[in-house]
Amino acid sequence: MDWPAIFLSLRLSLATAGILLVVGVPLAAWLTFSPCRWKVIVEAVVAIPLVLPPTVLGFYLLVAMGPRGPLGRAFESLTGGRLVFSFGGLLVASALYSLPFMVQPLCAAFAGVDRRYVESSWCLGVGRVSTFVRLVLPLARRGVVAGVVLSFAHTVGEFGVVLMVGGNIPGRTRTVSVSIYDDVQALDYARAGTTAGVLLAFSFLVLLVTYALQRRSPLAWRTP
Amino acid sequence: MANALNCKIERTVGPAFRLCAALSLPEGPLVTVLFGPSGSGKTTLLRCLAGLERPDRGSITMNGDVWFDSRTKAWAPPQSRQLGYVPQEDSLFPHLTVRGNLEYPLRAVGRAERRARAASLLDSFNLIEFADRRPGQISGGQRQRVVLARAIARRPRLLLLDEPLHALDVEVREQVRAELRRSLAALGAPTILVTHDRADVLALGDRIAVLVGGTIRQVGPVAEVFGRPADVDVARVLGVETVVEGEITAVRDGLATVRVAGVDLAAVCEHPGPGPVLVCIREGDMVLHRPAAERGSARNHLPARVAWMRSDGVLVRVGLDCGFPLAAVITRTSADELALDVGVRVTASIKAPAVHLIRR
Repeated sequence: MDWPAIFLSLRLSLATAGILLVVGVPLAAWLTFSPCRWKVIVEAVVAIPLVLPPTVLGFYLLVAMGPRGPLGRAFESLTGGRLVFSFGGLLVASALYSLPFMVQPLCAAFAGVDRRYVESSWCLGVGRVSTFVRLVLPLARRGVVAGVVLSFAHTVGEFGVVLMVGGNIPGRTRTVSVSIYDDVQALDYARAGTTAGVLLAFSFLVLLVTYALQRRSPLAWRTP
Repeated sequence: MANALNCKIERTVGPAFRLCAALSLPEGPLVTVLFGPSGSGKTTLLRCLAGLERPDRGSITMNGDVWFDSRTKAWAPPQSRQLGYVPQEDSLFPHLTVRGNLEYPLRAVGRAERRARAASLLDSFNLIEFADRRPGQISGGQRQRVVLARAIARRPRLLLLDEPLHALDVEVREQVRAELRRSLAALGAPTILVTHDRADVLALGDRIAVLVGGTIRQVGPVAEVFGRPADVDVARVLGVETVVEGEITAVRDGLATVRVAGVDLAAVCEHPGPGPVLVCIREGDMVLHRPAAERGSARNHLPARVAWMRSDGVLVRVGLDCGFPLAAVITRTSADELALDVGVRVTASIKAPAVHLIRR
């Protein structure tokens, strides 16, 4: 079993979900509440990874993050390191690729918060940002959890983008899905099978715990 | 007396409705009821005052602060208006306890002060035993108390209540209405209360503003507006009825003597004890006869003079003057038999149970 690949995948997925949480909450709030009419463009851009083949996205990212690409040059002048074929590059690619899986559940949850609560909060003298943090976020927390779980799970399962941007460097950019693919190519079905089994069990467990926790939410309807 | 609130606004909502309202509130803890049929713009006016909707034209000032002025483009967001607003639908935050809801608007004050103020609100609204429950775990009447307590937690300069008793059962409504009257008196800030229930108007209102088709047609003390509707629309919206101020002077065997403008009326009194009341008499509950006629079983016989008559289909509406204005409706046949005309003297008989008293 390819333990380094499993740990790398976990690290990548956790970091991706964390970054997306920080980026996604303000972005989703803006997309939901802004009266700006150009936001539909941003909405479409965020959703592009849903329809684009991962290889297409991976190709553009590879070009952009390469030594001669704008992203790659900027990163190199800042840190001296390379983005392609590195963990940092994987992270950027994964975050972009999983962005809709964070933003869309968040948007749905934010939009689902009844406007009368928000207006009541304003009339109680609580500012817009404060109302968002103290009222909208707690009321939308199912959406927050859903976004984190979905973007985490989606990153664990990604293949095409990782292969294009990260290559296949053991211990550095070889994730679980790539490792399984390699084992199958090498006709090592036993090794591929155990890794796949661990991944399957782990994914199931994460989703099970998440749904169980969601069910016990005190926001759920209760008979008095 | 200086006005606390001056509001003169226009707002077009959709293709068919235009609100064009002018309203002033005097300083002090008076309750002004905004009364009108549904669709007359009551909620829109209230939301404009709260800062949740922006009027197209006009101005709103409160104690000298400009909340809105279309000429200078001045605008105060709801956060800076320091008001209490209770919308029609349940607006308690479901993720917070009763105590959490009460402390929510008090973030700016210190922790100890916040605790103390929430505790005193819990106490004065009889909510101590529900403090740690969530809104979903208490009854509708209790929720209404929490909403009101939360609205006045920041000591608002203006309280806006949109149909506060609307969602309650009839039995609970009576009780919450009495509590509301006490709380509003204790608050000491001007209040605007939206309703389309006449019982709310009579029990809670000091003043009434009648809104018909987006325009405020009449503003004044409740008894005055009911007694002298400015026009036919206002009369129709209010339901023509006699509403006069009176005072219970004696109660014996459940029968109260009520003094109205120097005239004593007998009324059935369910809540004994002297004090000021509003006396309501439905126009259909009145029997008119010539002064010499048989008296029958009615307890009240008021000598009166016909002040005006208005034909209304097979009915005739008769305005009487018997020391206070009294509205009656009779059939055209009866009017002919009695040979009624303006200036004719008649006796108006009213059974004691038809004299409805509302305690103030």
